[in-house]
Amino acid sequence: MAQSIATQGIRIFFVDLIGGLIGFPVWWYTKGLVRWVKGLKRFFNGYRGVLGVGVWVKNLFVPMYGSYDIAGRFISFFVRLAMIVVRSFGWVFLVIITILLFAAYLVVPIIVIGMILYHSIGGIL
Amino acid sequence: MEEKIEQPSESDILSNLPFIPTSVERPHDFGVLVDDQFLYWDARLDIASRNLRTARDRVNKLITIVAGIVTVVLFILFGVSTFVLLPSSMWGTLDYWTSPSTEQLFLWIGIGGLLYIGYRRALARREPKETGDREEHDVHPVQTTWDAAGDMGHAKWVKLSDNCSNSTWSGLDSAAKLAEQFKHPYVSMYHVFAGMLSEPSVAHIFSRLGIGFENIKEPLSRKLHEITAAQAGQAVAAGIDPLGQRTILGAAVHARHEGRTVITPVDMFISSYRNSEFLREVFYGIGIEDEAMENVLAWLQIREQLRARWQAFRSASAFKPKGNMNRSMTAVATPLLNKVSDDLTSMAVRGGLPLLVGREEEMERILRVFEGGGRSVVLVGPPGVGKQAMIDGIAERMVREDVPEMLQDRRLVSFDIGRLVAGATPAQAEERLLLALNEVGKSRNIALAIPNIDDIVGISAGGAESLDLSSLLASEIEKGYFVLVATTTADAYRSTLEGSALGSALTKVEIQEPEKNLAIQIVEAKVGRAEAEHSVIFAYQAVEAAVEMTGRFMHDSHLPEKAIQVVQEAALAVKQSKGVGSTVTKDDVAKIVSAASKVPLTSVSQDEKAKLLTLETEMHKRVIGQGEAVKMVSSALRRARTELRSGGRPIANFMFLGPTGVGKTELAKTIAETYFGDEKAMIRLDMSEYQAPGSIDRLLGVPGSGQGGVFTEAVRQQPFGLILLDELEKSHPDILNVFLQVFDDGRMTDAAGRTIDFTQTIIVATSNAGSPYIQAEIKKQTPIDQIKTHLIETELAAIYRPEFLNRFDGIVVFTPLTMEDVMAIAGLMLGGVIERMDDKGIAFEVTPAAMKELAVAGYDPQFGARPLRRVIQEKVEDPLATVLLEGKVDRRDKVVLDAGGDLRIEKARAL
Repeated sequence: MAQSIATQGIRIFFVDLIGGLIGFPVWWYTKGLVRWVKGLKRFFNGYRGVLGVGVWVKNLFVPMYGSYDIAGRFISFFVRLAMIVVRSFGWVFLVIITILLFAAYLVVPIIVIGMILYHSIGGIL
Repeated sequence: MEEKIEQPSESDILSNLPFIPTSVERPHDFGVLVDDQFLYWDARLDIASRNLRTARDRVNKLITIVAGIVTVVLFILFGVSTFVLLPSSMWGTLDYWTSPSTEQLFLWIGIGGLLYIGYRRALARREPKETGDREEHDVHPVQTTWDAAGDMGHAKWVKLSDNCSNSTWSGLDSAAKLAEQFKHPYVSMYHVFAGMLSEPSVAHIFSRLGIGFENIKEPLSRKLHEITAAQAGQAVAAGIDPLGQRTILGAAVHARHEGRTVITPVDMFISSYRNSEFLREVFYGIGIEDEAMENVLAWLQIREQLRARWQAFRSASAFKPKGNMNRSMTAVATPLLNKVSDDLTSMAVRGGLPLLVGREEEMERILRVFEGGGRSVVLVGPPGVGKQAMIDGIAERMVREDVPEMLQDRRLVSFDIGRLVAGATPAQAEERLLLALNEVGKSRNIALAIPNIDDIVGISAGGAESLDLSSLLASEIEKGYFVLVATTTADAYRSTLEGSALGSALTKVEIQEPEKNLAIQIVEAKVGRAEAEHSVIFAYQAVEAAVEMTGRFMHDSHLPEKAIQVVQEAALAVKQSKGVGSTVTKDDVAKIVSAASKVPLTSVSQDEKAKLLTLETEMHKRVIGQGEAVKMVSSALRRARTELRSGGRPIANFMFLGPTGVGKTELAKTIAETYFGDEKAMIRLDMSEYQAPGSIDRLLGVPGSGQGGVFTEAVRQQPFGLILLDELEKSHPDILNVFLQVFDDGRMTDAAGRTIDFTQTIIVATSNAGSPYIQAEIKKQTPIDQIKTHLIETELAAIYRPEFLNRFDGIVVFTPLTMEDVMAIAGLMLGGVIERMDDKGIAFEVTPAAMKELAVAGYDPQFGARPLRRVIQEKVEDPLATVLLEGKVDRRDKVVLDAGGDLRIEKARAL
């Protein structure tokens, strides 16, 4: 709530400036985390659409490139099968990347702090 | 406390906001409870607080900059100390990277610095981040207390000062500075309002309203001067007064109403406008009515929504396949199809198609057809209502994949019939069509759009029995291997598609002309482009006028297209005449519409107002006597010009009754001159030419000819003018029936099926019916009202049906002319002669005795004043001509006409 100028000043100093420094880790694991997850979601959904595994499965028996003859259908089926396998790998890869990115966000500050401690203490020793 | 109340209008909410004002215990805090959230304000606006805020912002900025510099320096230190100073044999080993070192300390602190900068950037008080969905919400402010709000828990408290955009803060600071300047103890609503005026977004509202700040400066500064200044020793701008508090909270509530959390200067502007009777009056005083203001605000919202939609669309389009190939790779190369079509989805992906505005219902209907398993739709509507825009809208939705499954993972290809048949014999065209459709079928990823599908009807190879291109297409549609969206006009649908194989293969979805408000919204969305192209800005009134005026005066085309065209023309015209950066006003648009429709539209100017008020006098300058007739006509015209009449009828319908030569036609001409600005703005029909029942074809056109009639064409060419139906009683009764509809609805349909508009015409029918009766009764000095009643009940009833007579705004009985009238008419006519002689430098005078003689000679009880013109020709103009030819008169001489037809020449004195 609104206060006198002095209290306002003190508050700004402690809350905004000092608090801004202390609030960093807190922010990282709360609001910052939410932002990161939202971004990852967009990333994942976008590339999942590009891979389109579901679309390929649905069209498994549909010849590719309009080759409706027997040979075309035969080849298409196997190419599609192969593509589904490849794209499924892609999908798994995408999942892994997403999980890694998520995990990286969680551990990066810890690693940084750990490394700083390690190098500062070790460097001095 | 949480009871929901029924939603009143937003204006009411803002002006009756149940908020907690500041109190002695909390002199700077106020708040309002809105839907489970407590919005509160606790920031101060005085100088010290302002400086403190500025200092804080500067320090914050400084910290980020310092952190940035330190980080960069650390990275440089690491790079130099490792890769430059150390030999590669050192840093090339795993041992180096695993053992602790000062160099790597630089690196890791640098990385920590990067994270910190990221955090600061995310937190930095740039514009607060938007979290709303930009759709209108119901908001329910409820009365509460500090204690009750405290009980809710602070998680539900929203600090408004954090949600104000930077420009809102700058506006609030200006408000506080203004209060300081005036030495006012409090910051009030008027300070806030004035403070916001300098913000660009509010300035934008002003230009949309077509006004400038200077228009409201005076009353506003008077209002500010009225506020009592602070007493000696009292602090200035120390707090915000209750009205100011209401304004700030109202702005927050308004933002919420629009689905936003950020409070912009426009919200403050709106809040003060809605809270203050005074401000509304000020705007009203400069011609900005409440409605115009609301519409401008709605316009701003539309632009915001469009921008948000565009951004969402752009990011969605990044994942749509760009080329011919779909995700499931079923597509084949479509070389022939590509030659005769345009790919709408790829155009949309590249951002080349405009967004569809409104029309949700129609879009819903189209998509429902596809959801229900239908495969082909035809959009039927008049040209220019936006059928192509609907197709573009479908393309937009296909890019976002926000469509029924049948349309997903497909591209929308617009088939150009012109290109299909160009340079081909009908047989070749059929072959091409089949091949192209074959490509569509094979590809499985194409939805087809065929604009103006009626064009392919009637293209057939070989003789009369061979297959028409449309039947071919119909049979292909029946096979159901592709999805089709076609368009056609209502007329073409009726004449070529309905009942045909093609017509029955297509599901019809009607696209109507948008109603006024939707049309305005569509034009508003389109105006941006014209503005950008010509660097002008449209006032709201100009956009509204474009829709309204084209709706009223241009009947050959449809909304919104005609309004968009007018808007584009107006933008160009204004750029050329007023220069870049000017505002396009209602009058500019009126000029364009006026030129296109030949209707004088310039709004009722001061001169014209005076003219309307003195219509009787004006008309009596030409028409002698007939007081009642002139009065009746004048008042009808005044009603029309101030738009109090009903819109769907002609401006006025009159029947002039009376013997010949009493001034019926003259009055009609006078009306044309006074109302339409020119006595030639008159279409005259001699109804005696329409005595046979077959003559109706001359009026409306021969059925089946596809052409209008003499009369309908004339009105189409000149829709703003007077229509004189001379001697109406002589026409065939069937023809009267045609006019019955015109009198009532103001329109007529010609043989070509076009609707002819009569709403901008005055229709005057003259009739000699009952003339002998009028003459006889006038002689007996029967009152006019009595004569009129008798005429309508007996004399006219024999000729016209009662419902026909009822359609007239006035049945005007012209009385036979008296001798005095004829004298006055003679005076008028001689006035013309005097003027012409004056042009030659010769004065001409007629003595009263001569005048009387002429009047007597020119008056005929049978023909009224009609012989007068001939008499004046014979007895005045002929002798004058002789005298002139003989050279008996020179310049400056005076010719006097005396009784007995004597011409006396008075020679001027020699110079």
